[in-house]
Amino acid sequence: MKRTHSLMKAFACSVIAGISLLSTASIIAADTTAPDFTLPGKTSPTVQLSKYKGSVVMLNFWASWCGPCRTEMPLMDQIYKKYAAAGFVLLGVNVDTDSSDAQKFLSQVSVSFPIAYDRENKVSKVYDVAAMPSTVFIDRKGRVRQLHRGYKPGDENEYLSEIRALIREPG
Amino acid sequence: MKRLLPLLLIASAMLLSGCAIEPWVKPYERAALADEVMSNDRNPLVDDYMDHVREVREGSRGATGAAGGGCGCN
Amino acid sequence: MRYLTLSRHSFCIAFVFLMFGLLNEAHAGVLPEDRADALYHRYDGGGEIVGGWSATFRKKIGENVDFNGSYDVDMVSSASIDVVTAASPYKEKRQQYSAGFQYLHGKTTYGVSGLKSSEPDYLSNNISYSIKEDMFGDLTTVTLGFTRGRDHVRQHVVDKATHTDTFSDKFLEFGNEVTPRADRRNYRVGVTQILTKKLIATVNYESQAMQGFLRSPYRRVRYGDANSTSISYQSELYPHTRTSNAIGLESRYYLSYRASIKIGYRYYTDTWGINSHTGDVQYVHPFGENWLSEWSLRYYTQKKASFYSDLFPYADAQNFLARDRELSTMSDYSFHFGLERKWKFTQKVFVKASFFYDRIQYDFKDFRNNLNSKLAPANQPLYKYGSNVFMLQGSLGF
Repeated sequence: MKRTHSLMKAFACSVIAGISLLSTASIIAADTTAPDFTLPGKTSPTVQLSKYKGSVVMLNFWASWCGPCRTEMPLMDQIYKKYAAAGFVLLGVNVDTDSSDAQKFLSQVSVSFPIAYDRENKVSKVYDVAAMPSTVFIDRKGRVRQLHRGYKPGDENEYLSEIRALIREPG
Repeated sequence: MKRLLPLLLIASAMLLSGCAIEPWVKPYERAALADEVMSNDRNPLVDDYMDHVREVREGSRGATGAAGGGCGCN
Repeated sequence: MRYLTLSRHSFCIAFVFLMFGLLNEAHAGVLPEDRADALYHRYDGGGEIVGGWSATFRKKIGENVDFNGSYDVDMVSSASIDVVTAASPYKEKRQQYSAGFQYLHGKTTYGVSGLKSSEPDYLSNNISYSIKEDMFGDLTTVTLGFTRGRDHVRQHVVDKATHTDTFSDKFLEFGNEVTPRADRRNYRVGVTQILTKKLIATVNYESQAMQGFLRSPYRRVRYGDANSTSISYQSELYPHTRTSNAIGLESRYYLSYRASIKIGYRYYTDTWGINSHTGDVQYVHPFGENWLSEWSLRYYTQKKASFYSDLFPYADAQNFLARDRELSTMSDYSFHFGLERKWKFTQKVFVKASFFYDRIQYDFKDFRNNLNSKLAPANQPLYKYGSNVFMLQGSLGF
């Protein structure tokens, strides 16, 4: 009886623990065409991804309740201001179901890049957002090139090197 | 055979772990869960102190989620 | 009941497999934010007044390592029923220090910490290890913990002739000299599961094995006739081992107007014959952006240890003897209230002030209030008392 219990425990622990070997695969893989979408915008009535073809697009999925998302906003604004003239767009896709929380945040931390509201999370689903924040780098031809999950201090350097590389490519 | 049983269980656990389970609450659906009111850890110092107050006066201990350790209670 | 024992064997297997977390290259987790808290606390009840304060801090070093430490001091100016009926009131200071590190790799956090608790007549040294892992798209968190400790008991002896205080660490038991040490091995498993967008559930299992000198050197049991006022006393005698198992379940639900409700239950059982049930419910209600209140009720009930008795019929009535009211048939119910005010400066930096109050009512079913020795035990009332706990906390996020 004691031995069975011991084995049961070992099994339970192993199932739980062994699953640490799992890795999640992404539906949005590199070198696929970035799915187009149209969402309501903050400063314009609609924001459509395909309109930015020819520019490098950095799609950033963020939420007002997500700490790292809020931390990287001012840094992303600096990046946007620096490279906008070179044909770069940073598109902030907000996933809050209630946009008023996002608007409150933006009134405190204003950014100059376009913001779109994905209130029903349809675009988040299509882009298989697996972490908050998530950043997708799209080249001038509209192809997904790089996925970045989460944000920790220092990640902005990775963003910069990716943007610089994509900007150099022809449209 | 009895000796192999633990190994077989571990091996099957590892095979089972090959089945990916899709998270049913997406990362972008966690607004409520991220709210402070849903945290079980808002005041760890208070929780530890109250656990100690109870442990010293009751005959039971444990399974509260706090870390173990001697309390010097007799 | 045949309870499960978390054997070292299965624990090691689980540990090895969680170490495989080192191979997991998926998106990383995050360490908790830096914070510091200081707490003033005061307990008064049953004649005891215990005042003190605690402080804790946690600081990240880079993105993968954090360091934490805490300090507690309690000043016991106690005249609890144990002390009053057996000895004179005393003042005693308890200090506790702890320090630890955590290391984050991928989705796994490894932690190690040390804890030392010291009173003039009780010393406890403990080392803890933990592994925490996020799985299934961060919907599941599994934590394993292990603590190993060693306690050292001493007896405060006052030599009335020379008016000196000494601490003796050799006791006599059955005419044999025993060294009052106790060893502790504590195993914990916890699983937190996000069930829906608004519901989280947690299961905690904890098993502890203690070995050595497990009683108080001061406490005594009494024996005699329940209807007589001439009662005698002898030293307590406890088993040298105690193994316990506890399982706790709790669930927290988000209410759409921005509040939460939590219910919890814990079952405990040990080799001394104690079985207990704990139930609690908590409600968290914020007011606007900066104020938050919490309210909870808790009920606890336990069955006595097999070798406990308020009054034994005669001397050496059993192999083991105890009259510690913590081991008696008892229950307690408590009410808790907390109020917090937060000032947010930036995304991370905040200052918080909190106040908490607990009212705990204890009810003993087979421990009598023997303060009045003119009463025969049968006429002494069953002991009950109420206590108040006050806490004031200051917190800093940085």
